[in-house]
Amino acid sequence: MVDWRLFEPLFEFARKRSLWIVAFCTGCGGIEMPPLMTSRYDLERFGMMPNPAPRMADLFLITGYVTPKTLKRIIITYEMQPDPKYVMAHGSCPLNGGIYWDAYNAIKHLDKYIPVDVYIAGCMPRPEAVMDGIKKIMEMIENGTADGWKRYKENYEYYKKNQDELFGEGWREKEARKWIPWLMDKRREE
Amino acid sequence: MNELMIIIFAPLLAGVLAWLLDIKGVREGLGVIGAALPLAYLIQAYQTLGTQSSIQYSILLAGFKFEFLLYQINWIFAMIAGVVGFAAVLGMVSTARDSYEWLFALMSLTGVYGVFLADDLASFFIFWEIMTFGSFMMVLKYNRKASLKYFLLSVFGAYAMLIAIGIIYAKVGALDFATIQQAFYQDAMRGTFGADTLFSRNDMLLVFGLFLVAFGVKAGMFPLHVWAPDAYSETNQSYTAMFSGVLSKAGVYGMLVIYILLGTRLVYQFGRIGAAPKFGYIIALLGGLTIIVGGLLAALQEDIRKLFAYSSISQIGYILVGIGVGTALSIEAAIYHAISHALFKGLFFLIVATIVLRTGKTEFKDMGGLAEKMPITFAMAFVAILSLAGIPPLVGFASKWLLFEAVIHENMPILGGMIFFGSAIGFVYLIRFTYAVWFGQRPTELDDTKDAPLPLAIAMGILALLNVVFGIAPGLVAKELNKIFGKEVIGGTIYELNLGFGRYNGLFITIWLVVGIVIAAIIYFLGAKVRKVPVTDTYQAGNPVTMEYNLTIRRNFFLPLKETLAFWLRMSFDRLYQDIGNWVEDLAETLRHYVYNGNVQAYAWYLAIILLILALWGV
Repeated sequence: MVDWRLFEPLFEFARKRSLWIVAFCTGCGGIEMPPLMTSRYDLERFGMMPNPAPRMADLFLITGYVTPKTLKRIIITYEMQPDPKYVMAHGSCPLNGGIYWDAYNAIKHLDKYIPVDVYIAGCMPRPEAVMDGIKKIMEMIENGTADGWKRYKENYEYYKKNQDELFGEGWREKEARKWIPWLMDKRREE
Repeated sequence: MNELMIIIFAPLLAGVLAWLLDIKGVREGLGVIGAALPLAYLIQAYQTLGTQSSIQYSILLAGFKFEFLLYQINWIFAMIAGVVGFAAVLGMVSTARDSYEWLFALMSLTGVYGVFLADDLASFFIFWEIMTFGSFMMVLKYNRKASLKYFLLSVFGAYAMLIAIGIIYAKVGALDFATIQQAFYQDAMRGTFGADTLFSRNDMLLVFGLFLVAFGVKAGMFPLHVWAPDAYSETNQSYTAMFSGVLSKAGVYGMLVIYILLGTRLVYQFGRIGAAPKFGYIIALLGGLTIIVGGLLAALQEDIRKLFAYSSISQIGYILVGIGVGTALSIEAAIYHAISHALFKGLFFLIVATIVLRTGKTEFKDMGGLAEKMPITFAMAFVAILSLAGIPPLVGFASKWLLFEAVIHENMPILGGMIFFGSAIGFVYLIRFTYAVWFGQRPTELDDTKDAPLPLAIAMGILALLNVVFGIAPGLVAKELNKIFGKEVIGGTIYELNLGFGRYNGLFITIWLVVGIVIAAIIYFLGAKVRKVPVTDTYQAGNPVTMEYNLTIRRNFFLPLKETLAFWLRMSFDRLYQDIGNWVEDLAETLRHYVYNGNVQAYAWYLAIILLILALWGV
């Protein structure tokens, strides 16, 4: 490996100008995404692109409330993204539960499970607010304070503990195997 | 004892000895010697061919004068048989189960050598039958139905050839190639000057049609290809390397024999289309259909052996197109492709043999992710895949490029379209093979798969090396091919092919390819932090998966293609022949039932009717 630290400013400059978004629309914010991408507000002028594959993306937009079932998928998708990766949370729900503050089935503090770099308050935030958030994350990338991915690595025990508390140990395997008996029944029916 | 006799009969002798002794270890050794000896003599004969133009030998036996001749064109074909036969025999050291297989595999090798070296139609036919019989017995051991299908079609082909030989002998009164060639040439001359010709138009049509059936069956030409998928798959796969790589070339060589013997007369009778003779255009058109049909069916197979059987048919189509177009360049290109097809398809079938030997499975649904477990075999498969698909520094590119150039040069848009389509479909079925066998998720029962055994690895190594060498230095082959016509059809140096209207430099491309790979590697290794992840760490829309889920498409890989072709796939020559076979069986049953009805009075009536006929005849 070559030591690239000298070139880090160049890389940060490049990174902030080509943020690719994982198109993972959760909750109501999903419907607020298309106006951002289309001709009125047009995110592409910042070099941003919605992208269906986590391996090619670096910006993860959490666009609304997160249920535990979705959170499992969010964690899996987040871990699959290559470093460096940034998380931006829209609306009040990921911040503190929002109007679902007393729901048994919504995550109150997303920051306990994956590190969030920028929050955008509002329910829903206007596209201008989201663009403000994008500007913010660009600044943070440039001055190196958008370091959620580093925090996730350093404090992995903390996040892991919170995740396991919520879902129970070995939740990945359990979730995966949930469908196998059903699939076997399906196969028998064929 | 002449060296030609050693070349032809050494394999058979070794096979018989191996069969008689039947000691494990000894029979393998004998087999390898039996295949290596002709190869050594052929390499030695190269020197002799450089100083004198041919080596010949003849024997008088049972009233026939069997003549054998080794000259440039059949030396090339014999070398294909020598190299691929030797590699296949090395492969058989690992995969052959008993001495039976050694006897018949080596017998068919003798047959092929005989066909290639024969200089008269009698020995040509006899060795043709030996070749067919040996390969039939190899298939019979594994699958009776497939072998009978192969045998029936081959017998039709062989006896079509016998009838054609009979017609030629009746008119010309000789069997050796030189006299026949001379006779047909003179006949064409007579025709040109308006005199009566020896052969009428219908005679020529008949002889050509019969030869076309005879050689078409062996080559696996389009309507006669149905035996190949079954016969190629239901036998020892190491043997199939020879079966597909060399035995099918006998059919190709036969097509060349049509040119050599009847060429002038056929051109005189039927004329030309553009630069191509009309009779050649028929061969080329059937070859083009063979490419398309073989390629499309290869893509839809669920069995690794069947895929390569159809692929083999498809590639033979290219050779037939080249031979059909009939210019010096296209024939050289066709022979070049015959060489490269033998090299990469031999390699492919040895790879299949390794997979079948090590996993015991043949269907795609049971395989996947073997690249980690069999790295050597995978490397060989990689060479073979690149070569068949026609990727530049390998031999498949050089030969296909020559064919394309030859066809385009003669302005033949239909044939050009067919071979370009064939090239695309070649990629399609190879992706199927690459994906389903080597990559993706490995079924847990393949976790203790071992790599190729040594003899198979050596055999694959020989063929892979030749694939690379002849690809980087295509001039090595082109130089030998030029000697067929005695002039520089394909110019250039040993690294460069120069056609006058197009150039291909194998070394140059290899160097640039290596440079490109090095640059790509520098970018990759400087920038990337490489982290190995398990195969289940893949994006299933964010869902967690375990090894219990099958993440690799193993069945119906090309389902949309299948649905698109549904109308065409309803027509099957296989079923047509099957139905004809059933009708014939029914007819035999009906005759048995009505004629041999067990009624004594009926037999008395037959006698009476025949007497009546004789009486009316006035006997």
